[in-house]
Amino acid sequence: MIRLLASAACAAAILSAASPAAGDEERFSLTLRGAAFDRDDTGYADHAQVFGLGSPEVGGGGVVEAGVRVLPRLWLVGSWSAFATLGKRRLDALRVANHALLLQLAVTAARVDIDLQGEPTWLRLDLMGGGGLYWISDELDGEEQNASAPGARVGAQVSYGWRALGLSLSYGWHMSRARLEDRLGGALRAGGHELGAGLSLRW
Amino acid sequence: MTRHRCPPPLLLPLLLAASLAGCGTDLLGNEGFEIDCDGQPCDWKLVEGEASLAASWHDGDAGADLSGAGRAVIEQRSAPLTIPGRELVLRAAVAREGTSIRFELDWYVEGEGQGATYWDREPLLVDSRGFEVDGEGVLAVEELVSTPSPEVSGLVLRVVKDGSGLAIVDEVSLAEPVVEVTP
Repeated sequence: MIRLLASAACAAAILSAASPAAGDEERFSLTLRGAAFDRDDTGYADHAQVFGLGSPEVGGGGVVEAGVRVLPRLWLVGSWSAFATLGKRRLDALRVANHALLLQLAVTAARVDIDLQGEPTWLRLDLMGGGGLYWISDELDGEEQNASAPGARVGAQVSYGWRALGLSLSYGWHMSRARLEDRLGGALRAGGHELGAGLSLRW
Repeated sequence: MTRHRCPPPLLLPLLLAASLAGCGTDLLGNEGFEIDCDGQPCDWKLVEGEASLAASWHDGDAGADLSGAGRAVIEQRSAPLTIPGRELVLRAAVAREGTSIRFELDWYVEGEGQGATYWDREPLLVDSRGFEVDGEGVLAVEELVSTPSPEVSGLVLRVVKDGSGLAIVDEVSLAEPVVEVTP
């Protein structure tokens, strides 16, 4: 209970500390968002579907991003994302998961402070790019495959918020050679397109 | 896209009867080759040539891999069975390249011989029917097949591969066709 109260007090302190005038002076950011990930597929997902296991092309998951501003409007952002798909068929299930650990540079390309009936709100667009490590794995009836490779991401994030708290929509294009292969020559890559929405804190 | 649904019930008792009777109940056993009987998939038997019945599109998905040179035949015998109608739909997942794959269905009625099993009692062959898989690549095969008589009670289903190349078969089912509803 005490920890809960302390957390609430801390959150309140962060919200009250931020002001529209201090917008560009924010130093830290933390973003949590849920997202869908459309993996690059060259046959693997189609084959899984034909053989009754559903398509693992699109996975659901989330992204955690933590950033620090290093120059005016320039942020260094570390992120971890994970996405999974489960395709069931009778007693079997095909599990496909991909993860990425990335370091990105983000530029606040535009920011507008909006006074909404006395309440300080803001709208901003951040453009991001960077790279890191990608992993992808699958498991079906005890047979597993794992692959990892470096890769890159470019993306954009639109956020609207009040004081330190924001809602964000994000798109990311991931490119990686990490891939799973099936016995018919199909492949599913850890790269693809990510679309997400979530909450962000900036202080 | 056409949607497949069970026939719409007119009355609650009909719905109950339909649900008890099942919708599209599979007449075959071990359609996915994954039920194991002493290291081999139950119900399926290799009767000619060479084949692996261990993997299909993925190492973790059991199926019939008939790839390789020459003719290969696997079969499943099902009896006694009661067919739900004269028209049935055979579905299978097939990967084929450079080979021909044919599904053959031999329909039997009960014999009058002596024996412990249906097949020991010398069932009578009523008719043999079948079809060749069209198209190459990875295919979801769906073919309407007709039965020669409502009295048939035994079936030998054979998958026959000829030629050299890729030939994988899995998820083989034979069931009553569902009614197509177009809104």
